[in-house]
Amino acid sequence: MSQTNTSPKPRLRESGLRAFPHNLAQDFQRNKVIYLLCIPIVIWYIIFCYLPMGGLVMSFEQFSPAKGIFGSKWVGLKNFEQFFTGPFFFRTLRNTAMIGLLELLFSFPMPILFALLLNEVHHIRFKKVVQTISYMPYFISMVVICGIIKDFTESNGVISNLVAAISGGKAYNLLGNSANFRAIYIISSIWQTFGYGSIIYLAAIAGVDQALYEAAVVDGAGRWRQTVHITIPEIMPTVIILLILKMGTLLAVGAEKILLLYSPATYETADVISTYVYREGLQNFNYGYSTAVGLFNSFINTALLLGANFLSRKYSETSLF
Amino acid sequence: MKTMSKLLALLVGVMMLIAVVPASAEEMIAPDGAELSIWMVYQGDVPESPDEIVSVQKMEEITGVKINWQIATKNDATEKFGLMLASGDYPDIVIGASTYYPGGIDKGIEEGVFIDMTDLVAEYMPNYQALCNTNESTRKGTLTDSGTNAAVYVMNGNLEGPAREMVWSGILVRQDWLEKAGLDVPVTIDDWHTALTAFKDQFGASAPLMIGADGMFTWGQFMSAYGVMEEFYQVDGTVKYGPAESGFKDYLETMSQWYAEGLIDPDFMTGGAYDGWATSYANFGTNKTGAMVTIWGYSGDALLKDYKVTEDPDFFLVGAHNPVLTEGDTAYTGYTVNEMGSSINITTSCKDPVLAAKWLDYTYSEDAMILNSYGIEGLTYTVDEDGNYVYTDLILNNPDGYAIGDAARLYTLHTSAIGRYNWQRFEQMYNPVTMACQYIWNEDSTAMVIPSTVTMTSDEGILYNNTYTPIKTLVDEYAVKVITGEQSLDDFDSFVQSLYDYGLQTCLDIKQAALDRYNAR
Amino acid sequence: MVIKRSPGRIVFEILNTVLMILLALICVIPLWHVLIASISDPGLVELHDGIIFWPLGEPSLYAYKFILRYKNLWTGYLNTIFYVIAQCAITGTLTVIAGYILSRKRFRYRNVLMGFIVFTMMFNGGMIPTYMVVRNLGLLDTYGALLIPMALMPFYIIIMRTSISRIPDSLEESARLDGAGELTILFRIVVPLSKATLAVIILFIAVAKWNEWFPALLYLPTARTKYPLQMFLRQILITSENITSAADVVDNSQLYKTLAKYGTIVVSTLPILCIYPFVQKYFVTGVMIGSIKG
Repeated sequence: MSQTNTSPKPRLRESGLRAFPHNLAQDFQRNKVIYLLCIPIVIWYIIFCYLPMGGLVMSFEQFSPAKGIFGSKWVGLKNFEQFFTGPFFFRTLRNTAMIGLLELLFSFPMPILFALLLNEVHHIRFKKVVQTISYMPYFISMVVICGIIKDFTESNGVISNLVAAISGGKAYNLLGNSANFRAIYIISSIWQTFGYGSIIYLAAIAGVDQALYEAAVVDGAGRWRQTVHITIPEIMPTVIILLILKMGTLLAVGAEKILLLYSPATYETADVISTYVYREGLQNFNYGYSTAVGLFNSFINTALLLGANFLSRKYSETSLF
Repeated sequence: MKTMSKLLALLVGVMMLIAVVPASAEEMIAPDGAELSIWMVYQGDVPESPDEIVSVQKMEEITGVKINWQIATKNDATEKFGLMLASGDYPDIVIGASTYYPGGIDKGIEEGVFIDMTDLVAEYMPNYQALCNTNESTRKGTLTDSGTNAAVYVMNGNLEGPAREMVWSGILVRQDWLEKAGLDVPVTIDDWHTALTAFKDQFGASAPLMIGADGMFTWGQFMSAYGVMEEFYQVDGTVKYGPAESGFKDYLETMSQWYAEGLIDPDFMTGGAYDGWATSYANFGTNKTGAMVTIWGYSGDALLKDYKVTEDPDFFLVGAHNPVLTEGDTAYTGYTVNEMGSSINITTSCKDPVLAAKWLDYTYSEDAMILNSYGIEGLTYTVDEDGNYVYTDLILNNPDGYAIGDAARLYTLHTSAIGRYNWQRFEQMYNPVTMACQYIWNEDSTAMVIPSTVTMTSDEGILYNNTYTPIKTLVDEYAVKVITGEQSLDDFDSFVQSLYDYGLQTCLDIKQAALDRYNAR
Repeated sequence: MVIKRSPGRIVFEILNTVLMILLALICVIPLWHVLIASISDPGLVELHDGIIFWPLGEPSLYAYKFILRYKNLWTGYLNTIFYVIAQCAITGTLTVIAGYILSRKRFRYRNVLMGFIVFTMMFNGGMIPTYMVVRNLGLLDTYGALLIPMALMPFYIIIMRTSISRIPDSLEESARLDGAGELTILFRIVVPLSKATLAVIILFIAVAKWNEWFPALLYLPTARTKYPLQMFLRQILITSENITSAADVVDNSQLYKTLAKYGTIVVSTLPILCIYPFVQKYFVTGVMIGSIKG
């Protein structure tokens, strides 16, 4: 126990697992109220999130609801095996990743752009009206929207005719062609979410210190430079955090919309993990299997999230943790 | 005012009837009152719960048993069923386990959720047993592979007894167009080709024939002409898979030929005719289509007079047999509905299984059937001189403005989920013109169908479900691509080989074993 | 302070305005279509290709009469209003507290807590285990079942934390020097400065709660009087779309029921759109920070 380092308060500098109880106690002393406020939150998470997480054990079972989580037969990795060795595994994974990526590249920036552009509108009334209207697509149920999309992309639909006019070909059923599916999916996605998604960015823009703008004006900066040098950097933390979170849901392409839009004609690009599992699950109510697939998704998504977080820690000041 | 007093008089009359006619001793199951809870899939809009139905209340009065209905709508049924099982709070009776229980009813008994009802049926359910033995199909359908009555089933039938419901979906074709073109209702594939071409050329139909999004039809129409069905079928006791047979190649060839000629709906691949029955008739109304597979309710001039979706005064739809290859061949249909409906099980949570069995047997009695399908005499129906049951205006012309179907649901249990389901009651709700097509469709042979009461063991079920999805995915994709011309039929053999690579033989073996067991019952 | 506008700027503003108008049109037209379709003749609606701009056939309120025949619809409205207000209050408060805690740099283990919370976003036991927990707590068929299991959402906490982190540390320090305790700082300084973000989160909670039906399906097995609005609307929607057998096509009531899907959107969307103007004032630039200097 020879201490060569005799700095004034050695214990405060120690970290690591062995020192944890001590450091915790010390931190508690300093931040009593914070810890007290923590308690209800932590308890809530334990009860409603961590306790049910035990259900993930179903991934390794031939789960039967009647037998329950602890009574169902253990099958080890069989559910995963079934998932990975299915003939269409790679295709569904590829489609899921592609759609996730396209969403990231095209759907993600749109609300930001819209918020920035809307910010340039000076007429308050007009701005408010446009804002409110832009939310509306978000509230229309998916069933109706997909009905509209199908209608428009049929062989004599409005959009099909438009596309034919532009490309000079004959109008045909756009949605029946797997090459078009992703485009239709993403474009309609953008349309549905750009308004509602911009709310957060508008709030962030509203939170920017006016003094910064005033100073910039004094320096002779025009609106464009103000935007680039003030607005954008100021909302960057919000953008980055949302980007990291988005990475954490990249593979979570939901089945609802695709189920309404896809068909055997477009399985090639449209059949994603969630829709394939839906078709399988529909026949056998196999909870163990679907939980296993969900677990797989969770692992991949977590890896992506941590990766994104790591990168943002390195190259920017903001990160999730 | 007049209708009010009329109604009042009716009600008083009914109440007097109820008071005067004593419940027969047999039907009063629980003189001291008792309760049973039942889990059931129920539509739930009008009314929201069976408690509100007059005939249900009457049933409770007659039997002395109060029912607590635990209902789930069809969309939520899977989740709610799973939750019910997981929570361990089983009601006394569960309807629908054959559809929703993972692994099937046998598994349910094995896992201690349901009781084996064989002894109860033998001792306390004479009505049910009588029904079971009416014909071979009913007898086999209600037994398990080991020959027991582990569960009871809803009985479909008419006033005479258990009978398969008439085929309620099939090909409807524009009779007025056929007449104008000087053609008869098509019988062979070639006839159809002529007719569809006429629809296109003479009447400007852009989608003369509608087909499903998977390139096929619901119950094997058009395919049966080539001797195959969409999925598994049987030929004299041997199970086969349609897409793996050469007949499927011929079918696809014809279809892709027709597609190239513009005889098939150019939008079929994104939902086609089966995007919900309610919207499929739209294409009839706009004169885009001359023929499609749909429900009997739209036939005749219903679309013109009742639905008012067309302005063509000559509009008329007639039913057509499933096409055959050459004149004189038997037409086959893949219609699968038979005399048995959902399963009804008594759970291990039931404190008085004997009571439950007796109550269930009551629902199989003639009285209960009349009560649940026609309602209360004098209020919702009357009996005319020929002994026919006729609905009153309360149902047919409801004063509160409810449509016939809704009115019937308000006053009777009217559902296919309990006891004896009497589908004959629909006859008077439709005009005979509309019903005619059902008789036509009913004539097609169901010899190729594997009975829906064939069951797999739970292990077989797991293996089958694991193996079949990729097969079905490939089949659907391939069929569509061939029909649209994206893929050629030259690789049909490698397509079939892929099916076997994915495990088709396993599925065939399983289905074969199940069918053999069924035949041995 | 008048900023001179260059010609480039004027062109930009014109283009921007045109763009905004176009976007607004693209967004409003489908809702208009839904509204008009709901009062049109149902047969003609089915036949019609494309957007409906003007009522087809005889306009009628049949779809709404059909929906309003559900006496329980009004119960649903009341329930949902209650759930929305309660959830906003509960989740809003907890989220502010959580966001505050996580933003305090003095809190040594805040990243651990963050990880603890984010982990629950990624891994999830699923429907049945959560149901079992709620059931074993005795919450089934209670109002609490719809409020407590979703009291905290990691996403909102993260947003809150990000926003609170932007408040300069100097503010907290000077407050401490003045003798302010943790809670005073939270409620007197942090909350007022985070009004914009708080408004956003409350809006999100309100909208999500308004549209929510799945928890009701799970946790209110028999208490139909506690159903939120969407449960009733969904029942109408489903039964109008599902034809389970020929029995359901007995008459053309089916036709009118397909209009129900349009009607339910109108009935459920209009109220929530009306909330927005109240929250909007927090989004106007410059209302907040004002002249807060270090």
